[in-house]
Amino acid sequence: MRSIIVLAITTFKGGVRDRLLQGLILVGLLLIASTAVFSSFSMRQPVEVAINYGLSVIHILSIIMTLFFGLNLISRELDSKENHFVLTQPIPRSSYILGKYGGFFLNILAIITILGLFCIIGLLLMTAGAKGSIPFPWVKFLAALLGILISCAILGAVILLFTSVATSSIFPFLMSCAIYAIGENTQTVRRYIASGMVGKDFPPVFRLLTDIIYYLFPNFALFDFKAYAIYGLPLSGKLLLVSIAYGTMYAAVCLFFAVILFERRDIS
Amino acid sequence: MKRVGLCILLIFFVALTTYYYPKIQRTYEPSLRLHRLPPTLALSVSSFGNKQLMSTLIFYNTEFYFGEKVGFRKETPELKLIYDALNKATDLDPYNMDCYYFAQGTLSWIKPAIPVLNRLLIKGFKYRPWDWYLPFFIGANYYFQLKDPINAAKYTKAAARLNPRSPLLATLAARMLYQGNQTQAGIIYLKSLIRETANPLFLKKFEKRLNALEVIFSLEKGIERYEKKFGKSPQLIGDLIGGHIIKKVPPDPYGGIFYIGKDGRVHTTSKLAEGWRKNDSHSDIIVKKGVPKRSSEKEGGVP
Repeated sequence: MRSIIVLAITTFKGGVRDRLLQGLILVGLLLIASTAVFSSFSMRQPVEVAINYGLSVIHILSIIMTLFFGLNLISRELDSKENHFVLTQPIPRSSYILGKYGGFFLNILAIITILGLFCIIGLLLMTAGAKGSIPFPWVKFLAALLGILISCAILGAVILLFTSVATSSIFPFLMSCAIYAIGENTQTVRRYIASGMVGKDFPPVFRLLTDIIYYLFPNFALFDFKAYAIYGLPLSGKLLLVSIAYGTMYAAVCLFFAVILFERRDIS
Repeated sequence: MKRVGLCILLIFFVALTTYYYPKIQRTYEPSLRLHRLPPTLALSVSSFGNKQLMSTLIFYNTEFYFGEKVGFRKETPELKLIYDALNKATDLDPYNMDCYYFAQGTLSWIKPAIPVLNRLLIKGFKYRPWDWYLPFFIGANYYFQLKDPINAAKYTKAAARLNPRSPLLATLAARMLYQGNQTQAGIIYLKSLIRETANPLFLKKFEKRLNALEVIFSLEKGIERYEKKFGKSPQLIGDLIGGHIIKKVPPDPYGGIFYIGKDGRVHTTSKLAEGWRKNDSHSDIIVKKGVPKRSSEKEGGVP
């Protein structure tokens, strides 16, 4: 357990020093600073547009950072043989994987917290000057940030899973991008097919395939609480709990297989 | 020294082209078009979980298109494509109030667009049951354009229930129920819109229409006073001046001429339509002392 914590902290510190992450945070801060300009074109709901813009920026940047940072975790270290020093130490490979994931999670948590804080400051400045708009939905805003964090946590675990078997960093990157794209849209496509808009000619095989994909791949749409935060819609605590449970379990399963596959991998 | 000279020369040429290109651009650039968007499913998939942001971006694109087309180029916008964009934007984010507000501002002036516009607004009302604007807009469209006071009253009452602080809505709903004075109802409606709107294009449009309605309302009141004073209805607007009810006939902001129709109500040759010209559709009307001798007017006096 101690080795996991030490590795997590080391990975976290390495992530903080990463220039790519620093640059992305800077871009994120600039984008959030532009919230007021973006929302000023709204006719009836500048505050809602500001929340929408801030959360979307955090979401997009967090996913980009997850992809790049997740790849840096093991894949590039394996490419450059940087991690051979750690792996030759008396540390179980499972601890190595879990420690790396812990560091990654802390980094993403820090990034979302920083961007979220800047977003809140920008929104508070806006809501102070707005008239007749909705009160700031604090709990739902935090729920939306939590949803983004869970999405990133799952995506990070998926990256680790592919990294643990891949011999180059390109394969896990492409696979993770594909899985994210599928996971983000599988619910929309399945609901579209279920709505009957596809017509009777739609092949049943595709319908079955959509169902398989829906259950097999992570459903990232489940963690999208942005609409609740933007419009102050009532958010069910049960939905939130189920989402957290589903996300945690999915990430745990990915990590479990990542550990098994990495333990059997021939590093030399 | 050579470099400094070259630098000044380059800056001079940049300034020169910057000064001239807007004029040349305006002369030669093609007509501004709003492109038809892909299906909603494709938009949803390509938004990667940011449907609300995609909806806002579609709305902004439509808003900027309308602004440049109407405000800058003074051209007629493609309203069917505006509706298509707003419909798809609200499919992505059915809570996006900007889209409904913009649709009402741009499409409610065209009678054939009212059924689809109301369908869009009813979709919004389904998702935003707390928002009084949507039933208010639907009711206004039914009342002023579709001449359906029963449906109008239904939605205006819903708006009044959602916004109990505004006595105007309740008044308007009551007036609709009794099918009372449409001009006064129009004035109340426009005053509410003017109070809430921040868009200068809409504000100008609303204020112009309000001005016209207030003039019509004052003339209708003048007719009532004439009837009380002389026991008969005036035949011409000029009778109000002759009967010392009014001193002069106020001008129609749309450039038309007021007259009393066969129904005894005040009408105008402009039909309160934007872009009306004296020599266009009413060239056959012979005007004498502000009163047309022959008129095919069947409607008017309503916003």
